[in-house]
Amino acid sequence: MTMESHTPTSSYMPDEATFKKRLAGRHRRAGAWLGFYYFAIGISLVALIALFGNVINEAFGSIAVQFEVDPDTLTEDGADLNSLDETQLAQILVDQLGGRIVVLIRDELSAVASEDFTSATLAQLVPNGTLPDGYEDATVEEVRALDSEEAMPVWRDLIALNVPKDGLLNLINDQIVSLEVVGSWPLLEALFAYDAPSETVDRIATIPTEIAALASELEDLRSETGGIAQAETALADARRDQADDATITSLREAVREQQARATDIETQIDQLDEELETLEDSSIVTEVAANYPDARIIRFQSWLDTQFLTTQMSSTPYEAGIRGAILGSLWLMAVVIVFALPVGVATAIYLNEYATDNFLNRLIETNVRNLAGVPSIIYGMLGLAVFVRVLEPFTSGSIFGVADAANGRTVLSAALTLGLLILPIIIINAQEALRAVPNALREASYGMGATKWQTIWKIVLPSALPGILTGLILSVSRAIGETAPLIVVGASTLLFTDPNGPFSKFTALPIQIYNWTARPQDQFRDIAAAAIIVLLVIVIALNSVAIVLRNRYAR
Amino acid sequence: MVYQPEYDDNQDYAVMLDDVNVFYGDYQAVKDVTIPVEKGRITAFIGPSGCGKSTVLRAINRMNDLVEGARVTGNVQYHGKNLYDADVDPVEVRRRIGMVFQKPNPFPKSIYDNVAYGPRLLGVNKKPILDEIVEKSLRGAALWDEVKNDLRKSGLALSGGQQQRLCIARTIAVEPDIILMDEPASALDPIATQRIEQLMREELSEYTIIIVTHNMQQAQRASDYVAFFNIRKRDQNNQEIRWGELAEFGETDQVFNNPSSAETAEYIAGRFG
Ligand SMILES: Nc1ncnc2c1ncn2[C@@H]1O[C@H](COP(=O)(O)OP(=O)(O)OP(=O)(O)O)[C@@H](O)[C@H]1O
Ligand SMILES: [Mg+2]
Repeated sequence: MTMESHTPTSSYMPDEATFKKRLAGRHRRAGAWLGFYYFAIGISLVALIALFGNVINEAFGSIAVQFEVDPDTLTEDGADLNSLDETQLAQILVDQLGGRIVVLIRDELSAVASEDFTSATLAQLVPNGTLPDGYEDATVEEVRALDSEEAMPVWRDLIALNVPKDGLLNLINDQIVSLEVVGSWPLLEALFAYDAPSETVDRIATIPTEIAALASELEDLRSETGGIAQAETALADARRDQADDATITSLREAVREQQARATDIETQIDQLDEELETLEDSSIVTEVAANYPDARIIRFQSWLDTQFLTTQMSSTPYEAGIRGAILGSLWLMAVVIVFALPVGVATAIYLNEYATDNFLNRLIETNVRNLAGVPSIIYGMLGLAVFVRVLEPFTSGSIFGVADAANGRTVLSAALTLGLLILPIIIINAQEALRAVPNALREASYGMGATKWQTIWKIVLPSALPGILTGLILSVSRAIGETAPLIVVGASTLLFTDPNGPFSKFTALPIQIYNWTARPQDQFRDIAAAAIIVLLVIVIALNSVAIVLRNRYAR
Repeated sequence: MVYQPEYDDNQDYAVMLDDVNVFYGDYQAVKDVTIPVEKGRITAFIGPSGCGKSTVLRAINRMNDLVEGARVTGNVQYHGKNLYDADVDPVEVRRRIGMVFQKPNPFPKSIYDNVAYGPRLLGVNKKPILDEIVEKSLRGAALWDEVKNDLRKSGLALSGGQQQRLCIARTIAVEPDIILMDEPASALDPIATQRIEQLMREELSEYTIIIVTHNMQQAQRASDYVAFFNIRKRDQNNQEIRWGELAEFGETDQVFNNPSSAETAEYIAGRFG
């Protein structure tokens, strides 16, 4: 190669051979490092996939449900309940409940007190409602006294005219169908261990009968008149009669035989049990067949659906929703921003633009940096002591005349706590952003005769804004996932009302997740996973906004 | 003994530097600088790198106040007042004595907002008046014809030379007395440089201008007066020191054609610096 012809002349340069040898070594070392980078990326990827996979695995999957009444049998041709009109739905209620329909009307529809119920007229029951023609002034008692041919259509129309369709569907579900989730399985099982061969299912059906047969045989054998007792009595009789040794030996043998038979049956039962267990565990279908023969399996059930997002908390996982938690988290976010952004930015402006380099200011700056690393639980304890206890009149809103004082365990207390938690991060990021504003811009502004305040307000802040906002969003997305300080400050875990302002009691997504994962029932873990997905989506959305902001303004 | 230029006590100078010293902390950057700056004329500061040209220039509109530890002593006489008197507000000084920097530094705003920045600082907010100021200033900086159709475009989207003229337009929008220019053309190509020089001669001919430059031709072509600074490394007692001093001051023709000292002649001839 022509490169060979170039030989360095100075003596401290390596000669050709050494150079080649070292070059190979340099490439080798570079390759080794590259390998390490791939390894590191691989680990991060695996961790991420495991994280998401785990959550998704829990949030979706199969469930087995049982009803008191199968919804498909409610309509004649098995039509979907949603496709029926109000009258048809009311008819179903009336048909299924019979006389109990009056109780339902009293509990769910009537506007009068229950002791006045029977003497009230239908018009009094639903003051602003529509009524079946001709029965406006009839009392409940009178209608009840009619024979059912006549009474039932009246009840039906009363319900159909005054309950919206959603309400009717809910009533049917609650009162008649009474759905209950008896088991749930993660997505991986729903995908790969759902079905079993039909022999297995059949076998599962026969095993219990076999076990029952064996068990009754065993019981017979061991009963007072059973084989064992008989053999033992025969042996005892022979002993008492001092029968010869041969007889006694053969009788003893007979007892032993009977006992051996019992042990044998026991072993068989154990084996069958074991077999049943293995067969059961082999798939979802078999497990349900063995344990809940009447249950129906929904192979792909998403715990995360609109109902989950929009309904209130409940103590039954299938009905629980996270509307309160989402609203709580949004309220927290809003109040945190309102509090922490101005305070953080103002502090950063002071430290960066005004503070001279003296001991006090250096101390403040160092402490801000240290505070960013303080564990969040400590902020929670601070929040409890200061915001919940000392400042209770303020944080509970009682000095503002807010009636329902929640003992200071309010959105405001929690938001101030989280605000303090992220304040150092906001300050540090804002300082970084302010430092990144070129000094030339400041000088240009001063050179035009701007005051310091004008320069900061009109030139420095606008230039630093994307950086400041990026920092804000990132820190808010950290705050939104914080659990420990909220627990300490006193978030509610079972909240049935929506948080509707800074002074209301609250719950938040991470609190709800924490609470659900701590429960023993599987299904709570499933809805916890669904809530985690919601939280992750919020956090990822926030971070994406931050990335877009940063890229848009990166110059 | 530091060089003292001749000046007329009775003349009304635009600004009169009298025995000005500038310190950065303990370090004295320039010593006993005396320069009479004549009204409506162009004065050029020349000299080797590090001799304190920028330092003296920035002392004239109190930009050094922004540097922590910087200190100015002596007299910067402006309309009968020492700019460093306690009752002088530096904000007012900078409004009257504008500055154009070495590197073009338009604000990250539109061309219009760049020019309107100064007037707005002073509370001029009426749109028609601002429109007029913007047009006049851009014409004054010979930029109007190039940008009149997209005044909303970002100032950063202009070429380097246009950016520098935008900075000049921005400066004259507040109608200053004096314009300080610190190597305004050093980051520009020869054609853009020429535009700036032409601008100084024509559109800005009413202004008092002080310009720092490393370009001898530029100083010769564009300026009426030249102040030559040099670095002193030993004092009279042969002690080691290092500060900038005024080495010669006079009319441009005279300094370039008939310098009074050997060091000036050498510097101009390009033998050092
Ligand atoms: N902010 C500062 N802090 C400390 N010393 C400074 C500062 N600015 C300038 N100096 C020093 O003051 C002296 C004069 O600097 P100055 O920038 O005025 O020189 P100059 O003549 O403008 O040079 P150039 O032609 O390279 O721009 C130099 O020794 C420099 O190191
Ligand atoms: Mg300079």
